[in-house]
Amino acid sequence: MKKLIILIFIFTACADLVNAQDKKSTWQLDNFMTFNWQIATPLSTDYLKETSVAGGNFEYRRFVKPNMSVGIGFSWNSFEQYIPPKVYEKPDGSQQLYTDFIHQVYTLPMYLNAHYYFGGGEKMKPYAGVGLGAQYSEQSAYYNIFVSEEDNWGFVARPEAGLLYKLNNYLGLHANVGFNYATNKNEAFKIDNLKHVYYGIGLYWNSY
Amino acid sequence: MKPRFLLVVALLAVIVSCRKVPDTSELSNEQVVATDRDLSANFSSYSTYFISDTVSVVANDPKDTILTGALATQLVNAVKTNMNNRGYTPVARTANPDLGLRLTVIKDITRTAICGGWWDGWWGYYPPWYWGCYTCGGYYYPWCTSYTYTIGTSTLYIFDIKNQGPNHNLRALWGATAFGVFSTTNNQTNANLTENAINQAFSQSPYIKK
Repeated sequence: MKKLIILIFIFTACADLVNAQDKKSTWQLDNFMTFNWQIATPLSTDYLKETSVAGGNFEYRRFVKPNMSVGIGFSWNSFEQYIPPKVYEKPDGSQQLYTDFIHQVYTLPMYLNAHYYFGGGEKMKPYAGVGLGAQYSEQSAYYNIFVSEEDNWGFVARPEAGLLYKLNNYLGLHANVGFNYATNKNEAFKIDNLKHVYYGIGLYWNSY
Repeated sequence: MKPRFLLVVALLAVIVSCRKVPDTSELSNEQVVATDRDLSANFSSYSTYFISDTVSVVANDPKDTILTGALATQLVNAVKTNMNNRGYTPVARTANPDLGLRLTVIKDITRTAICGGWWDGWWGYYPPWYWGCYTCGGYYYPWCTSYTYTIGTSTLYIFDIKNQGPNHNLRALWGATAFGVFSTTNNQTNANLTENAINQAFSQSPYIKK
């Protein structure tokens, strides 16, 4: 979480720097799409903790004011972690169970988003924003040749900060970092919510 | 706008299909071992036990009910070794043992049993195994859930013979269920898996001791 705050601070600082350096921006965005590869680190649960590189993000944004856009987005992340064999014991000591597991969580947040863009230089346009919507998720525990699975829906909120880097009038690079909080619950797996920090890098396509 | 809409739909289809399938080769082939004890049992109050030299078998072939020979000996000896190490003495059936042990192997069978009352989610996963509903000597094992047997399961129970009730009803003091993939061709492999499971069942039940 500290890293996320630091990164958001850097993005904001960068935005101020761009503002200061270039007050006469000519870079105009109307509406654009982004497609990112996403790395994510789960924060919410003991169920799994390993960072996942299996993820992606797609967004469509439309400017409603010179420095503000609204849009829709989809994201997906597939987390998994091997849990070595161990004995699980019921608190009263009456039952024990021994096995190893592969824990997996698949998340698919779908959301509406709004972003504010900090000024704009010739090449870079930093922004901060938030996405609000619903998250579909599947949680699975694989053991021996068996699997226990559950799926559910939750509310999702995704504050984030990012940077657009212009390559030409139509195409550019896109990087962002954010925090995904969803209310998905799974009592059997003792999951009260699903949270992860994500780091994305990809491309955007601008259409005037 | 229509092409964009189609693009979004296509991307959604890609996204939904993006769930990664885990590499389950990481998982151990060793059997999953579940144990359950009667909390009121005082295991140190028993001294002797009896276990048959044969193993009960539940299989697709109704005539195939007893496992004998080297494989049965291997499994029974694993139980005896653990019981002896915990301070109990093996005796003959006719010598009024304090405890009776029964080992059952279930192989290549598909059966669903639904009982109720056992599952309370304590360890965080839905158990896919049949925990009980096991009738032996008039005893009805009370902890049950549902399970479909498709491969190999073995059960080991310890019954209180010393304090048996009227009509020879026996109380189960402890039960172990081991389940997992079995070899379809190599019974020695299956016996080794079951022996490991028996050892694990005792290992995770240190309260069984004289």
